[in-house]
Amino acid sequence: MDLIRLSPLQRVVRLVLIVLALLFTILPLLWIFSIALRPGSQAIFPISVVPSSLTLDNIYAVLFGPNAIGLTPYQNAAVYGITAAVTTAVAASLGGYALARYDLKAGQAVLIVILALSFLPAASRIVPLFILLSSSGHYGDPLFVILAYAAGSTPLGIWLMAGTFRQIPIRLEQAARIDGASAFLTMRRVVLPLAIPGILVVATLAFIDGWNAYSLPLILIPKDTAQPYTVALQAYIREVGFGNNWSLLSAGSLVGLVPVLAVFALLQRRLVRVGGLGSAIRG
Amino acid sequence: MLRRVLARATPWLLLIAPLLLLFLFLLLPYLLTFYYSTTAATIGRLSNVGFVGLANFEAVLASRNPPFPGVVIVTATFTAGTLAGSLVLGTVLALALYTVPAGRRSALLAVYLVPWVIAGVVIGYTWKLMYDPEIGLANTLLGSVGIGPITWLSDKATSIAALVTANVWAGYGIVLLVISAALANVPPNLILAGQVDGASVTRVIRRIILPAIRPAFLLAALVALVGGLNTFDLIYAMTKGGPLYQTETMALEMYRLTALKGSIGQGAAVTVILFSLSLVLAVVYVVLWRRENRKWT
Repeated sequence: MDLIRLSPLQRVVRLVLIVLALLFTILPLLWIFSIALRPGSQAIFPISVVPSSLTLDNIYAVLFGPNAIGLTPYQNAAVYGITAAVTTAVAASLGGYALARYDLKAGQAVLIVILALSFLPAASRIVPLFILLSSSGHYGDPLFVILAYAAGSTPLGIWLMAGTFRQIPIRLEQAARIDGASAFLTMRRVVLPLAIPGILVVATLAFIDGWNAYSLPLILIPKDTAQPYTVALQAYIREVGFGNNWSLLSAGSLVGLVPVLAVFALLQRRLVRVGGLGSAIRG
Repeated sequence: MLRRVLARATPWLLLIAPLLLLFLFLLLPYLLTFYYSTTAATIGRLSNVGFVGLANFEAVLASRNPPFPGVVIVTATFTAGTLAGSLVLGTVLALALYTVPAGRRSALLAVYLVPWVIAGVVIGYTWKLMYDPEIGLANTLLGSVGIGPITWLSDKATSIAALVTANVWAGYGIVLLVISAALANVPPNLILAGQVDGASVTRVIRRIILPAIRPAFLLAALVALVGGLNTFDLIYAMTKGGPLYQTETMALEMYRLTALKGSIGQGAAVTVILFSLSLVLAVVYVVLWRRENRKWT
């Protein structure tokens, strides 16, 4: 028996709500895809809702054409994402293991402070990081920007990894040690393989943050060639009046969307769970 | 003896790297910001800067172009709109999904959550395109029913509402998730008891379900609140705070003062104001989060 029995009218209301929310969520994405994939000659006023033909010309133009931003900004974003993912996974595993296996009163207190700080989104860190990197002479160094993003993803990561390690029975570790395995071998052959699903989620979240990085590179990386696609796409925005190059801007955004959507599709079940548990400690 | 010392030190050895990362890139930058908010530092001059007390804060509060109260009003309107929009949409949708079978529900949740993983700036470009006066979907659909072109982002009457809509699109998924998770933990017996006693569905929702999820509701409200307060990428991509500062929030102001005007001191002052507001919310958040987290894990 259903927990709540709905009248036919209530069922209709429910269906309408679900469908309207789906349209609200999907239509903007479909629209930018449709502009990206239709010929430029069809992306002008008056515009038809459904394009009469589809083409990959705009994608090609963004990557290789005369007005291209090229492959470099996407490679830079990939470096941001992957480096941030690896750094976060390592830091979160170390911290998570320490909190899961040892009873640390002081550690908990420190983590609470960090959790509070990490709740502050990237925007509020723009000026502080600008000051930090300028005053320490690292202004313009992508590595420090990446580490800043990794630091932002680490607190939630530590929390998730602590939960992952707690679920691995400590008896398994003790058994391996009794059989003569070193601490390192126990880690590598027993604990880490079991923690892989958790590590994957933490790394994925950090990758998404790094790949999507915008505000920090915008202000901290002056060099064009070191900027990610998010910043490079601004080339297609006209500051004053009309005349944005929407075909290329849409195509460039589409290329940037593909990796995160793919990663999300692969891991959505786990990510949805994490989203509920961690409730968006991301900025 | 050595073994015991080593055993006690192990967790701290493990924590060195993560704590160092967090200290250097989360805590230290904020400490520096508090320091620099009391100095006359500029982009060209960061060392040997003079102490100026609260002069930066006075300068920010007294600034005429744009007037600071105007920035505060824009920030408050944008934040309140984001909060109300994502809470209402997220909660109503979570309630609608509550009676959907679990398998279909998680598939739907995944779709609603897609904007969560998209870069804020790409969300900005997407909605800038939606609102484009000539080829935007908004005007195309309105035009087909005979409503003339609207310049959504350059018109004072519509620009903030347009930004709020985009930000709700970006953020309501997380509210939906938090509320859905809380709904799943409402004891079924409570609801069954209500039904047996003859309460209508709306009455069950109002009297049993909503009170039971109140802590999660507060949590989601805080997430939306701080998210709204600190939105930068999306507004910067869509309007850059313009035209004529009418969409400039405090988050954009601190960027403009620092990067464009070059006044580190004043940028830091705005950051300190925004940080203090967010920190109060963050402390409340952590307290609530720990209480909720205990229930869910």
